[in-house]
Amino acid sequence: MKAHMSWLTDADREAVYAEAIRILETVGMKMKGSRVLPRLREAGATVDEHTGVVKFPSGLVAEAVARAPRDVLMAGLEPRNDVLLDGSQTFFNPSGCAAKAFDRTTGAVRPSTLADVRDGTVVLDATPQVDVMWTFVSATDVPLERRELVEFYTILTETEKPLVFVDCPTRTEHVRRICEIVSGDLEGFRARPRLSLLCAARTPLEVNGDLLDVTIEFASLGAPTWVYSMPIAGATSPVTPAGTLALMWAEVLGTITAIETAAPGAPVVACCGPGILDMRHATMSLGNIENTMMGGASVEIGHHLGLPTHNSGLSTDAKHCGVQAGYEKGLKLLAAVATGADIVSGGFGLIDSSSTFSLPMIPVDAEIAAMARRTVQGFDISPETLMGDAVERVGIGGDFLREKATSRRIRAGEHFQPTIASRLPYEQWAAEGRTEIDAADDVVAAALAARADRGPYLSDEQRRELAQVCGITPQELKEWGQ
Amino acid sequence: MTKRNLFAGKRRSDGVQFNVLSEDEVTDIHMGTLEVLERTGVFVEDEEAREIFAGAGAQVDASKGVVRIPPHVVEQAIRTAPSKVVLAGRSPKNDIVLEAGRVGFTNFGEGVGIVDLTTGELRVPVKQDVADTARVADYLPNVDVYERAVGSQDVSQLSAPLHQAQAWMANTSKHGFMGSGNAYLSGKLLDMAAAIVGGRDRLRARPIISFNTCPVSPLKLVRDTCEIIMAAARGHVAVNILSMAMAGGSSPVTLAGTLVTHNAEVLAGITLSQLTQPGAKVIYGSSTTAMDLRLASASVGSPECALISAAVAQTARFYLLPSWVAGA
Repeated sequence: MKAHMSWLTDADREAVYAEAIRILETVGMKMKGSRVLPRLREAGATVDEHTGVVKFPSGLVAEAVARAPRDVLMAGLEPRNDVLLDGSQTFFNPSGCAAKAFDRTTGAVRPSTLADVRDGTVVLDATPQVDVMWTFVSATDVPLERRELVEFYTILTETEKPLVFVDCPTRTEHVRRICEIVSGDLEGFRARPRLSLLCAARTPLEVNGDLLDVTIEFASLGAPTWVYSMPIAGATSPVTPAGTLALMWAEVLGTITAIETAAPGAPVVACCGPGILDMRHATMSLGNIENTMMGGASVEIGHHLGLPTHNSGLSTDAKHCGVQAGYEKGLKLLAAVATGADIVSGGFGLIDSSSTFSLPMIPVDAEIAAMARRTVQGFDISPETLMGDAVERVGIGGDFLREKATSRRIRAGEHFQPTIASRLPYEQWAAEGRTEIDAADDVVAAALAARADRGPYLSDEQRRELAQVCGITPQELKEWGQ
Repeated sequence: MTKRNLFAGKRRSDGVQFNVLSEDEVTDIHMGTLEVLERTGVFVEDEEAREIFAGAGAQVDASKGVVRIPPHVVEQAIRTAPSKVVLAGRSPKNDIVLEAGRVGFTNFGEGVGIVDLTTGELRVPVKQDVADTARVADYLPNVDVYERAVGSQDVSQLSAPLHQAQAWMANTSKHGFMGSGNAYLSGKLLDMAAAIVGGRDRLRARPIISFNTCPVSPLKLVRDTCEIIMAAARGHVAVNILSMAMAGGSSPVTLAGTLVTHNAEVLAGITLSQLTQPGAKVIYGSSTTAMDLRLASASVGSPECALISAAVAQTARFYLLPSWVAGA
C-alpha cells in the first residue's frame, strides 16, 4: 500500500471546521470596496457597506464549497504538461517570490535579475519533478512599471508547464490578452487554462477588495484561483496550531465563498501556508515544521470538504545550500507528500525563507521530491513481489545478484537511483572532491545548454504578439536571442 | 525519573501516524516468513543452539547445520518474548521504557572511521573516541540510549569489546548497547556491568547494558550470534537481533521479499532466545536496506531504507515486540 501520514481524528477535523464557520458567522471577513459585496448580501450574507465586513451564514459557505469542483485542471502548453489535481497524486511547484539570488559566478547574494528569471525558468522547466511554474523570482533590474509584463513574457516563452501568477496582475486587460494569445481565444483558455492566479488573504480576516475583483474577473474566464491564507502564528493568528488552523480555514472558506458566489463553479485550490513568528528574533519562519503540520491537517480538512488542497513542503530558513536546508526541506516535504496533498509548494531553488533564489538548489530539491515520492509509493506486496520461489532457489547463504528478477526490476526502477547524492566510499568521494552542489551545477549547466539548442517556446507569431502586449522591444528580443 | 517517550500514532486526540503496510500486508509477510522458516530453514552454526532447536521440535540437519522450525514454535516464541522492556541507565533518571509505539532515539555503530574533531581528517578510531562519543551522547537530550559508536583500533581486537565497554561505561550514565563478540566476552561484559551496579543480582534488576548481534543474510545464525543470544537470555539482559540484509544482494530485490527473509532471520534469533529462556528480553532489529547495484554497496541514505525501517517497526508492533530500526 501507499505510505500515508495522518494528523487529525474526525472529531479534530470537525472541531476546526466548526470554529472556522463560527468565525465567519460572528466576526466575518473584511472585503472592503469589492464589487462582490452586493452579491454576497443578495445571497444571504450580512454586509456592512461602510466597513466592508461580511458575515457569512454557514449555509452560504457550504453551498459555495459544494459549487467548487473537486478536480482542477491546470493546462500546459501541450497536454503532456497538463496537471489535473484529482487527489490521485501529489504535484510540485516552486514558490516565491524571491528578490535576491545567489550569483553562480561570484557566489555572492545580490538583487535578483531578469537573467535569474530566465535561467531559473529554463532549469525549472527541465526539472521533471516540477509540475507547475510560478513567478518565483523578481527581475529587480527591470523598472517597476514594466517588470510584471516582462516577467510574464520571459516565463511564458521559457516553460511549457502551467503557470501561476503569484502577485495580483495590475494590468488586467494585458493579462486577458495574454490568456487569448497562449490559448488561441478565451474559449480555448476556459477549456485549457494555462494561467492561474493567486488570491491571498491579509491575515487576520481581510482580503483586498481590488484583488478579489481581479481574481473573480479571471475566475470567470476559467482561470483556477489559488486561495491562500498565510497567517503568522503568534503574530497575525493565534499562537496555537489549532487556533491558526481555524483562522486559516475561515479565510480560505470566506474567500472561496466570495468567488463561488460571483463565479459559480470556478476552479479553486485551497492553500494553507502558515508561518510562525520566531519570538527570539522577531522574524517570520517558513522553515518551521509546524508549517507543514498545519498544512497536513489542512489537507485532511480540504479533502473532507471535497476541495483540492495544497501544502508547503520545501521552504527553509537556511541562508545557504547546506545542512539546515537539507533537513528542513527533506523532513517537511516527506510529511507534506505523505499526507496526500494535491500540490506541494515551498521552494524549488529557494532558501532564506523563500527570499533568495539559487539555481543549483533546484536539482537538489528535485532529488528530495523524487525521494519523497518514492517513499510514499510504499510497498507492493503480492505473491510475485514476495519472491518466495527465489528464496527457495537461493536458499541459505547464497546471493540474489544472479536472479533474473534482480536486474530486470532494478532496470525498471525498483530502487531509487540518486542524481545528486553520493553513495561512493569515503576515500573515493574525497579523491573526486565533488560536493552535492557540484553535481547540481552540472544538471543546471546541462539544462541551460539544452535550452540554447531548443530555442524559446510558443510560435513565432505568439511570441511576437506577446512581446507587443508585454512591451518588449525588438532590441531586447535580439539581446535575448529571440 | 524513568523516561517514557512519546507514542507515535496512538489514536488519542492527537499524534501523527505514518503507515506503510496494511494489517493484511503484515499478515502476508508473517505467513511468508513462517513458510521460509519451515521449508528452507536457517543455518545454525552452533551445536548447542541446534540442540535447543531440536528439543523444541525443529527438524535439524546436523551435517548441513540447517534447522527447519515449525510455525507453532516460532509463534510460541513471539508470544513468550516480552512486549515491554525497561533499559536501565547507570543513573535511574536515564531509564527508558520500550513498548509498542513509544519512540526513542539512539546513535548508531560501529563506525570504522572517524572525522577528527581538530584536523577534520578521516582517521581510524581509538579508545578515547569511544569515550568521547559516549560523553556527547550523554549530553544530548534526544539520544535516549547509547550505542558504542566507533570501534577502537588501538587495542587488541580479541578483547576490543571489553576496552570499548570500559570507555563508554565510564562516560555515560545512559543505557548502552554493543556487539558483545562471543560467549566468553559476553560473560566478561556482564561482569563489568555487574561490578558497576553491585553484583549480578542487581544487574538483573537494573540491566545497564544490552547486546547487539547480526544474523548473516540470507538466513544464517553464525556461532557468535547464537552465543550472544544465549548469553543474553541467561544473563537477563536484552539482545537486539538486527539483520542487515541488502535488497538485490543478500535478499530479494523487491522490498516485500526482503521483508520476508529479514523477518525469518530475526524470528529465528528470537526463537533461539525464547527457547533458551522463555521471557528473555529481545529487540526486533533492522539495518536492512537496498543494495546500490551500480556500486555494490549498501545505501542507508535511500528511500528504501526508510520504507523498510517503517515496515519493520510496523511488523514488530504486530508481534508486540520492541523494535530498533535504522533512521538517522
